[in-house]
Amino acid sequence: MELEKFSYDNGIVRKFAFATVLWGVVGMLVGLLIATQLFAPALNFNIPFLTFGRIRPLHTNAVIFAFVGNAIFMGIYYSLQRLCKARMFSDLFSNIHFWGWQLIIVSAAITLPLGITTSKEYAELEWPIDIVIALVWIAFGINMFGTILKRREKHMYVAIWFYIATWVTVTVLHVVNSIEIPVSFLKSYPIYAGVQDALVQWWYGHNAVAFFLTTPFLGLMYYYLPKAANRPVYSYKLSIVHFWTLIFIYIWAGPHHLLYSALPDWVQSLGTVFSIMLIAPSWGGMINGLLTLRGAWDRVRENPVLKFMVIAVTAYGMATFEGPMLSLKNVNAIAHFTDWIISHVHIGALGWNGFLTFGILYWLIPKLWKTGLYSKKLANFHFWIGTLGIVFYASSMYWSGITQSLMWKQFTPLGVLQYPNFLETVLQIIPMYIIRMIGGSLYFVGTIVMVYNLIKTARQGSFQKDEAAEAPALIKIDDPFKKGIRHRWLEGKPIYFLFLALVAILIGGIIEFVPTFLIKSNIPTIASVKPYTPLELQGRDIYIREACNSCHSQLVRPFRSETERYGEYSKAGEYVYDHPFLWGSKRTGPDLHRVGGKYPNFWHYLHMENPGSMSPGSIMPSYPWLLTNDLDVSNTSKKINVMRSIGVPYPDGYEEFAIQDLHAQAEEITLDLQKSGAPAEANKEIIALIAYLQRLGRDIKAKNYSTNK
Amino acid sequence: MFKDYLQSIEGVEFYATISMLIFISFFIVIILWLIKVDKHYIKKMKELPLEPDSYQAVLKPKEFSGKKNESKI
Repeated sequence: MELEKFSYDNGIVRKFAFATVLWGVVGMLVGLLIATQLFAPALNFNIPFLTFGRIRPLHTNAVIFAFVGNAIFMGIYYSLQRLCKARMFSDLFSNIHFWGWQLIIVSAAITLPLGITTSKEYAELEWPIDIVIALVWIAFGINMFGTILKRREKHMYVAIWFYIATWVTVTVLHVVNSIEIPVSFLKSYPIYAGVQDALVQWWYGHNAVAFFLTTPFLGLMYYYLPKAANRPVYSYKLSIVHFWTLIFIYIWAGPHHLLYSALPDWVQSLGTVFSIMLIAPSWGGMINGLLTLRGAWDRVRENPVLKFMVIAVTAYGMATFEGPMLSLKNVNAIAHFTDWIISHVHIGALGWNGFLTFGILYWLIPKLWKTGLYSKKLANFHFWIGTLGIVFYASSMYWSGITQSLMWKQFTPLGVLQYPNFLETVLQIIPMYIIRMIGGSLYFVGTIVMVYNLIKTARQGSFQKDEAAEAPALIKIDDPFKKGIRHRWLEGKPIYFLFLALVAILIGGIIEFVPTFLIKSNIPTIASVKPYTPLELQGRDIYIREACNSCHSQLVRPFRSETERYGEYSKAGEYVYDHPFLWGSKRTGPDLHRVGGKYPNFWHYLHMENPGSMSPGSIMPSYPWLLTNDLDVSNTSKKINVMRSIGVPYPDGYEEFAIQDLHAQAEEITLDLQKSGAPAEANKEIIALIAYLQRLGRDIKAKNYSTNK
Repeated sequence: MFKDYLQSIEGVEFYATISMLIFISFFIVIILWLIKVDKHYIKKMKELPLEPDSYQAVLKPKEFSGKKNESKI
């Protein structure tokens, strides 16, 4: 048999490895900064670019798409070549993918602190960057499928299945959630509104976790864990079952992010049911990973790579048990909007994604540089300090989440809220925020030690950009495995495989979306709910720019503890003109859906200038620039036009008069402020923001409040 | 609200049923396939990542192509 000569592209793997480490450090550092700001809000230095709302998305994007993203590509580019016994399809595409991805990261790092955001979690980047993401992702896809098609190994190992499912699903998610109409080069509105926007966003958000943070990493686990342990995976059959069930079930579970919201009940229930079912395939993966080490646990004691991997897989098991539990309505009622969720996601991010990435790096770098690890001792130190960091982080956030939630819900024997002042529940958990920061710092120190260790390792070895290899060509022969049902109907045919994976992930999405969209005319509309005035619309865009929704929800759940605290619970019909929806997912501060009319304009003016002046001890940062920045009204008529094009019923020709209305309303608010003694000017941003805040939740208080079906 | 939504969709009661049927039937097919699949195939797949990255000077042809494979060729 002829052996064909070719070479593996290690250069691209090294590039992605470097980017993984670099962005990992950056992402964690930004995380540390925002964690510290939560008990020391002055650390925004009154600079807009350093304020929590704007850099919290920078942290999540850096960790998810920069750190974990590059780790995925590093892992795939190394393993795919070896599993296919082929070099990547095209060096050019490899490089387009790498540099394109870094370009996206850099543009995120620039635009997010500037407040250029869509406000949709994990999809904050504006439309031009969305287009670049799509193009780079397609380049990655072509490169991956090109490699698979020219492979010399007939059979596709299960890791490749996970890579394919990842690619196809992320494509669908990104496209569907990014359908938006541009207002300008860096501003757009999504075509979906309110409840529908929320459903699409959390279908996306949930499945970004599923298909960006989970399936590619399971693929990596199926390659690197057997490699590191030098033994095959425990059960290949289990991997097949859990692959198909995982990708089929995951896609349905998005609505569990919207329990007790204004989303139709049946969609919420569907989300819960599928979330519970998810335990089975998730634990199938975890068990398969852990049992791979059966009879070899002594090696775990000695091998830092395996230590990291064991904790990673265990963290995966914990997070995927907790997820379904959090999807139960009774648990969700306590956990949602609190730090419990922060803990949950960090078990996944720090434990599963972080530790598996570290394990792979400790295995891969010596391999690529043809040497041994510089210091096993330092790797062990990293392992222990990292684990300790996770423990501090998670336990403090569980404690804080449950404490605060119970305080929100506590009534006195007389039937009134025991802690009517939201701030009181925040001050109670400040010590936990400090402990969380300490936990994060420990984890970060471990990462820095790893960087040193890896650099030293690389220094002592020699890197070979193109690794020569030989393998027999793929010969079209009858398959030797005749017994039973032939396997090649699927697994040897990547394009069929892609198609089936696509079908599996589309079913759930379609069944949840179609009815919720079709019945638009049947959503109980509320006659008194009117579109925002031009000034309110501008104010809303400032709310989005400052990402107020990072800390404030706009969704009063139908609990007595919430209606007592905030007012009437939120109805689906109230959001019909909300492009995008701004329900939020975390209440670091109180809900704002009924804040309209609750405080005088003057209160908001002083509060935005310095929250501590109105609420002593508040951890909200100051926004002094809102008082001095001029409001940009040049795009007002364009915004009205775009809003009308996506279904907001502004009368024809209104864009001509919008600016007059805007000025009139601004004058009114300014006069009121001046009467109270504020040195307010009508052309400042704060006026628009106050107009928006005072509008929130007031429509259903109008006299002609009625619902028609 | 629950009722409003359900009643407003024609044939909504079949949605959940159909999706469950699709899923369960697909799942059964996979299970059947797994029961009937060739053990040698599973073994080969399991060991795929542990094969050497390059065959050069590592193995003689008869060893790397698997016994079954070789008899065929």
